[in-house]
Amino acid sequence: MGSIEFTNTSVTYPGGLVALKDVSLSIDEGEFVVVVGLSGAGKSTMLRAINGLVPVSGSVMVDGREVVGASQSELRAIRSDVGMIFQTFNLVNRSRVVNNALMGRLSKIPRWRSLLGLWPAEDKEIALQSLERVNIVEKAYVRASDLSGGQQQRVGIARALAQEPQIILADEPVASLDPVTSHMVMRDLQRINRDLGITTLINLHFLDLARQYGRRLIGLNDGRVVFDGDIADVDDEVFRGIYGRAITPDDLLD
Amino acid sequence: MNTFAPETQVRPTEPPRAVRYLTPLAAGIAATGVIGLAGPVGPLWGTLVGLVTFGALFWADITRRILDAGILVAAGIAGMSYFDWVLAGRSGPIDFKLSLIAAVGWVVYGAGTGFVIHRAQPSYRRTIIGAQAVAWGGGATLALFTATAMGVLAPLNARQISNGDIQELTIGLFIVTGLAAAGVGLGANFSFATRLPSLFASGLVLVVSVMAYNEIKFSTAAIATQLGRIGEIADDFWPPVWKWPKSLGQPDTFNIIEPFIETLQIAIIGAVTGNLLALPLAFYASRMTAPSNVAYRIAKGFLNVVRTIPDLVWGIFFATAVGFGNPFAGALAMIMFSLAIMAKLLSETVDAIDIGPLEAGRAAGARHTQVIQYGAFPQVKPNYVAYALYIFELNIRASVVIGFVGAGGIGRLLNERRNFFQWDQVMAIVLVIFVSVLLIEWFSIWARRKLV
Repeated sequence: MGSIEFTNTSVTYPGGLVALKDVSLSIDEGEFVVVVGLSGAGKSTMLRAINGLVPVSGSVMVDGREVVGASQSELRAIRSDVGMIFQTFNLVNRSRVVNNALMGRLSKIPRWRSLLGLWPAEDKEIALQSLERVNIVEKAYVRASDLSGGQQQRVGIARALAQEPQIILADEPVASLDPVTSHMVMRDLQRINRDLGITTLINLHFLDLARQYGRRLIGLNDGRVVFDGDIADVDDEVFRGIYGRAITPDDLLD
Repeated sequence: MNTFAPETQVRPTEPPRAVRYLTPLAAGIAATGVIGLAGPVGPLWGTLVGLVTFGALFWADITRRILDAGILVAAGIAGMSYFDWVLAGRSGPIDFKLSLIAAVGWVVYGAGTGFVIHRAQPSYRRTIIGAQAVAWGGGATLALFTATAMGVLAPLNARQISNGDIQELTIGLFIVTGLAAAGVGLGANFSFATRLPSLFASGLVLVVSVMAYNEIKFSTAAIATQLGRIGEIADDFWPPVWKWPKSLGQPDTFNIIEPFIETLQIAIIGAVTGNLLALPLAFYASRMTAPSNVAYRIAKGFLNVVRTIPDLVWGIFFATAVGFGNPFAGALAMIMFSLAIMAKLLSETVDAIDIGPLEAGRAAGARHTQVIQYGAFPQVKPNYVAYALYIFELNIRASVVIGFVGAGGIGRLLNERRNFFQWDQVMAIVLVIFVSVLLIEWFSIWARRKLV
């Protein structure tokens, strides 16, 4: 559970832009993978190809289920097993923290229940446990907009956890945060990967964060995979290959 | 260090949602609907009241215990049977003393409701038991007494009170006392003492509006002298005539209140139904939330057509369709009127929402409707409430006007009296409209400030 397989995967946006070009690679259950590359290199597109949020061609298999050409209900079934974390958190600011976490349960409950807002006790419990897992449960009944950036991102993680996912996709999860909270969020993600065995893919901008937390690293340049290997094998030369230039202080968080 | 240790974390208890304070009102109105359909009296009635109240409390997540349903049904049966027993077969005036005696039944029901709320959620203070009892009992007493004083119940004073009368009384009382009880529910949960003025305010809004109608009689002389200076036409308008024969040669007199209530009902039905129908439509008519481009085009096109037709034309159209002078025509016209405005205002608000939560919902595998309900709607909820109250204000005025074209309500009466050149009767009607529009606008502004 939690494996991903790209075979000749491409993504072409309606405007004609090819953001991902003929990518083939596979990710095993429980892996912790960091994806790096310049902005526009196709990192976000690669993540969104996994849960079918972008127009994808070729083949993407998630736990043996094909994303390309999947029907709406098949896509929903795949997405409900794939949690996603966003750079800008994407919380409903006016709603309470627990309600944001409960959004992760929407695909698991019958339509009439979600329409009437009658959440089953066990789903509420799962949402609260997800909040506990990221140490934010004491804010459960506070409006999301009243939290700090780091706290909001933890709610974002809890929302993904509430799905009880096989896979977590984190799209630049720390790009809007300060260095201290960035490390806290990265440690949260690392711990979740270790404790729960959830396959985790993280897009990162900062090279030192990638080095510190990643195990496997995928480098993208102009929609193509230019590096895929163990983080231990990554040196400045590899980074130069991904970025097309030498490392500057701007590429480092600390 | 940020380690996972659930035993060191303290879960806060869930605070009740604001909507829950309004539950007694929801129960009352729902019970009114059920009673209006079924029409039983006494114990059967009390059972229904209790069950409906339990349903409302269940929905609001306050209680899920069967025993509480039993308590509510028992309180309902006791209260309503008593009310029935006091009034059934009695003849003679419903004076303040009798109102007070009959209202004891409502005190019992209110106390039962308060007890269950407190039992199920100790975070509700114990004062809510007394507060609910006082609100239901006090509201019922005041409503019965003022209704008698202003003549609405006058026919009852002259003959025996029947089961049908008690049923009608209860329907009215649920609405009046429900408002008071909801206000008290709201107040009791915070600080009973500090909220007392606002509780009375919410309970008295209806009573005051009723009394204002009577007050006007006393200022006749003062206004008459003013108008006398303006010219002879004023003599035709003044003094207003409040009652006139329904038809020539019959002892039956016409009551302004009846068609006026009809106008209010048209406005309420129009605003409530139109605003509810506009809700899904508004999301279809915004590019942000439309399920497809085709759906967007259809919704937008439909709304453009509805909006370009003026409310008067809707009135004429429906009056022709369902019958001239039929209030149903007015209600239909007001539904289209409200729907068009709300869908327009709300869809433009939806255009400006943050799409991040929508993407998050989609990524979590939620259905389109769930994404809208949980990702988009919370973002526009305050706007929706504000627009709804504003549209209700517009409806009151518009529903008077469409009466002129045969869509029922007080406008029809106004037009009819005007055609007969009965200016003094027209004056009475205009006064009633003026005062009530003012009061409703005032209430709406107050409510918008409170809610948004």
